[in-house]
Amino acid sequence: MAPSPAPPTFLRFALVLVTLATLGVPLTAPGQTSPAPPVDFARDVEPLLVKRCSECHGPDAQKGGLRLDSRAAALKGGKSGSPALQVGKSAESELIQRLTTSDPDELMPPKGGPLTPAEIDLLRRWIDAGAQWPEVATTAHWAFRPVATPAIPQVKRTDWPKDDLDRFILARLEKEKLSPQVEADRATLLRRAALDLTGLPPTWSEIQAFLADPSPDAYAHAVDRLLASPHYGENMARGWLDLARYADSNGYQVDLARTMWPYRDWVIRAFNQNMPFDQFTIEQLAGDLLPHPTDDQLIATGFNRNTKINDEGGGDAEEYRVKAVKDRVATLGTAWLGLTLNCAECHSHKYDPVSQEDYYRLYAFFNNTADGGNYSVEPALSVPTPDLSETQSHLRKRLQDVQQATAQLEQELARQQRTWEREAHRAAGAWVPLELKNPVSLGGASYERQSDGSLLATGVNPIYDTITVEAETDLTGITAVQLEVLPDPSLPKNGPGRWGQTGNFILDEFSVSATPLSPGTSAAPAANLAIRSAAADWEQRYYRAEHAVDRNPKTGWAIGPRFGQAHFLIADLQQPAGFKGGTKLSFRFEHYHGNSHCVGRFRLSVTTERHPDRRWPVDDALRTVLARPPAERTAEDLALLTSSQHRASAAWRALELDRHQLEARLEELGRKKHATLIMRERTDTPRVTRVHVRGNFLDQSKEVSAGVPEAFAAAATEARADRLGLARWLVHPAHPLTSRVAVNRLWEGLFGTGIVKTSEDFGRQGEPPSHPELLDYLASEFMRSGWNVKALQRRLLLSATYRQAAFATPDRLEHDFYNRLLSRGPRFRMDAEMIRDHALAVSGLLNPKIGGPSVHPVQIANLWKEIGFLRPEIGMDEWPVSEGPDLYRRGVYTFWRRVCTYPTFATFDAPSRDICVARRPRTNTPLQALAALNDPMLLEAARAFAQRILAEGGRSDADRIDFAVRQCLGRPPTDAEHTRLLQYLKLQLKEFRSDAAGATALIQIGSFPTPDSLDARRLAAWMMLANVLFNLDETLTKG
Amino acid sequence: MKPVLTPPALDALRNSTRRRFLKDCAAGVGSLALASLLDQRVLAAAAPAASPQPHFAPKAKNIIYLFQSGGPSHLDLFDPKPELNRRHGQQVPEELVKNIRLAQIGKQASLLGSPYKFAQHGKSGAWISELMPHLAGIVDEVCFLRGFYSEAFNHDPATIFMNTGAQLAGRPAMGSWFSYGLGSENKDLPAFVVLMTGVGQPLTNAAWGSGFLPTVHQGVPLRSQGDPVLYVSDPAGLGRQRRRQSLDVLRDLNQARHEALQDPEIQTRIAAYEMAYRMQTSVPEVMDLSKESAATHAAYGTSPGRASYANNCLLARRLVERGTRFVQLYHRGWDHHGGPDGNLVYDLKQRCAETDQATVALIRDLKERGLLDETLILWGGEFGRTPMMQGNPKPDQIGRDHHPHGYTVWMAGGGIKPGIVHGSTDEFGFYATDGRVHVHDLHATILHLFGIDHLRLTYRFQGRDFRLTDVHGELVKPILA
Repeated sequence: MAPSPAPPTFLRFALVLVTLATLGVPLTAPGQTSPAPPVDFARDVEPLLVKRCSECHGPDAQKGGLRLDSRAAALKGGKSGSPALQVGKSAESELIQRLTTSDPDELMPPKGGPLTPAEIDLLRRWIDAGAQWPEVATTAHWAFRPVATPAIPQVKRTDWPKDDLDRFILARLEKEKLSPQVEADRATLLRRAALDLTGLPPTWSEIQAFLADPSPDAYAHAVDRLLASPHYGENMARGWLDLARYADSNGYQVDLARTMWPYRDWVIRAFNQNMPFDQFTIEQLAGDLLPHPTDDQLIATGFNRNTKINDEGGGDAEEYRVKAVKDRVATLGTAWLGLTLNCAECHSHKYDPVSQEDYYRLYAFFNNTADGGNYSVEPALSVPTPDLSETQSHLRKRLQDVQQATAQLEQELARQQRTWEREAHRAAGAWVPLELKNPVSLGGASYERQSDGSLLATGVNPIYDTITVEAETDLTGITAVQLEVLPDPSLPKNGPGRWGQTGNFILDEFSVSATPLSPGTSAAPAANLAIRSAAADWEQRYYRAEHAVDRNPKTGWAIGPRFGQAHFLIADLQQPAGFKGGTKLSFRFEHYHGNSHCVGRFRLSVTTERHPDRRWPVDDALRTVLARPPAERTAEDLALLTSSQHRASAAWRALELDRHQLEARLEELGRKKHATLIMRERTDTPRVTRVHVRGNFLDQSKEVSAGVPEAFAAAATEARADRLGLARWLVHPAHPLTSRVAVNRLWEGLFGTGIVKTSEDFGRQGEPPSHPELLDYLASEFMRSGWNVKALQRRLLLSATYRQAAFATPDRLEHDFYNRLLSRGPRFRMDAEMIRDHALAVSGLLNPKIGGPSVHPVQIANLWKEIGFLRPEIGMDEWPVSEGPDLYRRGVYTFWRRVCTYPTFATFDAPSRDICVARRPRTNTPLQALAALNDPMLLEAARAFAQRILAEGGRSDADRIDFAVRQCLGRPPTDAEHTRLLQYLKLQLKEFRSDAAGATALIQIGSFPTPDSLDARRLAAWMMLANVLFNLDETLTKG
Repeated sequence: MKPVLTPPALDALRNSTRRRFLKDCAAGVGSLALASLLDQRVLAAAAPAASPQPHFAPKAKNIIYLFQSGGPSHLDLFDPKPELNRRHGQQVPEELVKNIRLAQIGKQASLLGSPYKFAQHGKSGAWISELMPHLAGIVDEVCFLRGFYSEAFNHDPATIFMNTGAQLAGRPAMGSWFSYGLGSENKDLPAFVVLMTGVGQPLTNAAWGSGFLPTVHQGVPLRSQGDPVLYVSDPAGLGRQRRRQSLDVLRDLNQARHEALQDPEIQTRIAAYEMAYRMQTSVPEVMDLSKESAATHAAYGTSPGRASYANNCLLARRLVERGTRFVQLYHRGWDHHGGPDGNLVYDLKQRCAETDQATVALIRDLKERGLLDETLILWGGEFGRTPMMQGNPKPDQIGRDHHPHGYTVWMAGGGIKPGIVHGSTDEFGFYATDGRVHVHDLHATILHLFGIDHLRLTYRFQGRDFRLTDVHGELVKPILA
């Protein structure tokens, strides 16, 4: 078959012409016109009729009494009495006349403009050539016919096939006068098989063992080992999870987190256990309807709970429930039937035998479930707490380290206590309180002055607010500003903020400007004073002091969970401020987080202290103790001294924050209960299903009952009109689609393109199969084997077709450019998750743990805040980066948030998982290059790989390069490659020799430890080499 | 160089290369990039076998879509209603609301006149409220669509509808269609860029995603903080020179691999990496506003380094100057239901103050630079607001609910007839009555301005030829220049 061209690209095509022309690249004249090719009804005419005529003259409407969806109807014509077609006489055909008339009232179609001359010419030629209109029932379409058991083709080259399936491929190649490619070398073959089955590269020792195995079954044994690997299920799950639109969040705007990972783990287990595909189907669609379903069978029904849930106020719950039901129908169509059922939501399918009524009959299967549309995670099933011991022990270890470091630091501080006391004593009084004036809240709050000089907010409690307040000072040389936030009984939970639930605030931006008071000085407009840095006595996770002065309104300072207490923030100025003759200072507090996260009571002061260490505030209590002679100090005094000294140390505060977060995380892990979304039937009165007129759920017409489309009723021996009946219909041996669609997807996974390229559409608008008999052969073999997935994959991997080398040759590019004939082995870019997994595996970072709650590997900070999720009470305002071993889990475990897909995955074509996706596009873009070069995870992997090379790679740089290439590509380097890489390495060693600072900066990336003994410059050079290896086309490609 | 490929294989290769090139590298890769890299024997033969043409001559080359997220009130900005003011406080007439769904308010709500003064401006006499004094000064450049209407009344579906022509996530955004249909004119920058400011409703990638089109066509958000494009900065300590060295060795090794395997995909990858390298310079360059003149900063109200709508307006000009096809600004915070959370007194004034000057400065700047004729400006939200008041707030905290049935968006430049007001709403500003323009009509018209017949720009997915305009859309001829 002819390779299908890419979708219409004519416009861009034209653009390139222009560009090439301006480049001076010689353009040849447009190709000589050959005689017009014969018109093909299915390819040329029918789509035109459907697109431009069928809305008014089709199954759903017949304006003027005319139908144009069968030859008989067109010959009969409409009310006018004249036939639309005069066979062989286009000029006399009413159809052509109405398309070309100059009378605007007569001209068809009335909407969307006239047909183009080319389109009209097509119709003319078709009519003149006899208006061939194959009167086939749509059920005669190849994919709707029963799966046949075709004869195994005869081939000339009988020594090539290793499996009967190869004969189908070879017969076609021979027909096209092509020959198969030679067998790939063994190392290549093992890498290909390992990546295809487990998604991970083979280790070099596995390759060596394989190369050394003289047994004729060595390759078969290797494939068997890979099929038995527990990583097989993880790899297989990826594609199925795209179909199942599995994600860890609800979707839509608010997109809260949900617990669905038990379903994901079920999928991995099912593949690992080689669950027969029919059972796999039944448990996911109807596990809850099986007799005495096990928990696993209930978890499997999460498949259809992967629909989105609305968390936004003001939504119509029924509307969102209906959307979920429709999504289930669409997913059923794509995942099992290879049909675009969603076309029939609004009107009968224009190509395939699915009427609008059929659609709502399928809809009825899913219309009586217990889930709702808004805020609804029910029904859910509690699952046992997952094994998080690895994470927990890492956290405990970290906590221990932090405690140890704290103890050490405290000893050190104790030794310096005297000095500190002296400094603190001098620092007392460094801060001069300001008398605050003219507080203005744009949101309408009022302020009351308190006896301590602070202002207390009263009255209106704005959701968002910007507050300005002024003060005058005679000081010059002001070096820093202190903002104290204070508790007050009138504030929610004692404050110091105004959020009702906790008394927190989020200060997004804090700024100060200065203008001279004396009239003589230049009246320059008040400019914001540049702030060098900010520190606070306490910072909430993700809400650091520096966030209040970073000019980014989406990040801010907060103090949870230490509510109801006084805190302070010190902003150090870039330049000393203050005018001679007095200065007016204007302060600005910006609060954008909403829900009244505004500061409730505050005081401001300034200092002229130049030494940053002497700026740490000394409060009255501490000042009293400091003034007291050491001999008179009580135990309480001493405790206050110690704790004040600790808090004044930035290092101690950093450790405290760490300790707090680790404890909180451990507590959360220990406490958290897990309940996953499952499917249940409603127990009360069943819902009535009606056809939605034009898909509008508010406009319902005829009542329908659950049932399968008429055209596929042959497989419907099941009496039950429920989801279980539906699932059993799908896997009935007489069902023409399920087995074909399933084997096609397995084929696609290995060869890059399915036998049917449009693996989501087997209907008449899909692309016909390249090897129809092979598809049927595989489908029938699949069913005969009891829907045995591993057995089929084993045959595919052991076939001669699969084992071919991927080298193209001029002959192959000429006749089989897209490799649809399989004249060579498959070769294509790895999926997003595989690129990550590969780098982790090669670098040695990979944590092979299987299953459990999703994890949060390193991601760019603040991405969630940027898209607008500003409210911490939603709990999803910042990507909570995982710790330790959880950073290095396989991609399949990465937390999948629909509105903000993990960026590097999205760049490499991973879908958002809003809807069912049968195949990912496979693009090749500059943004991918940037991600592969600079994603911090891949850079950390490059550093870890460099450390591994230096530790294990041998004694000389030449040996190490050999080692590195073998680990990364699964083959030794060629001489040319080796020379070029060694040259590059030497250049990098030279580069970094004189740039120790650059080297040190570069190797900082990531938290994987670096041995102290390693020279930073040497490591940096090798890290660059590792980064290059990770970016090679060959690395990124399976082939 | 001795040809190693036979002519038919060459054809296939050059076709594929061209196609891959167009398909994957359009976001920032022009053909020049590849031209310099591809084996000459391929390029020399890269003549087209046929030369399809654009549908017709385009009027516009670039578009800047100033999306005001949240739903600005047409009744307080562009569409004065004396009758509404006269009947202020009365219950909304039942016939207006009997057949519709409302987002939050009930059907007994009372009518709310606009507290703002309107005046006619320019030769066209367009009405503008006192909140947009700058816009009032350039109404003769602008075409107001006062009979505009949509269908969705919640933010998320309405925003996605305005951007993709469908209410559910998953269809390509308008900018993606442009990238797909027309490619980029700059080899170093993406064709479709998204810029965001303000606080309010979350904006999700569904509004600038490429849907079923290849991801290369998705909108690239340029971030105002951190890396403008993810990973465009090399890590600390790496350095440009060492990056160049690593790309050199990558190219050499990939080239050698190509010699062995003859897989054209390898050539595309080499081109993509070179393009990435150039983006590392071109993106920070375009983001750097510090070189703009003081006069420009004064006109826009910009200040380098700050995240602001004004900065994004200036950035938009810099992007279209460099050939970025589709620049979309989102400014959040136009959702004024009333109460302290967001109202027509404080918040609406604030939004106008944040945007009016810069929007107008952008149009003037484009005009002075001779770019307005080829740059289409589109200003609007996902819906307008109800003529009825929401709730019973204090007088200085009044607000209105979501309203898709009739509101105003406006356009300027890029082949649009300047200085006209097209269409109108009824006496309450409730339903679009005359000159009704639906979301799909707007899309069809915009595509037309770029030389594209909306019926013919299609993409085959799941057995259907999808269009931006779904199965609808009529060209709005009266507003074409």
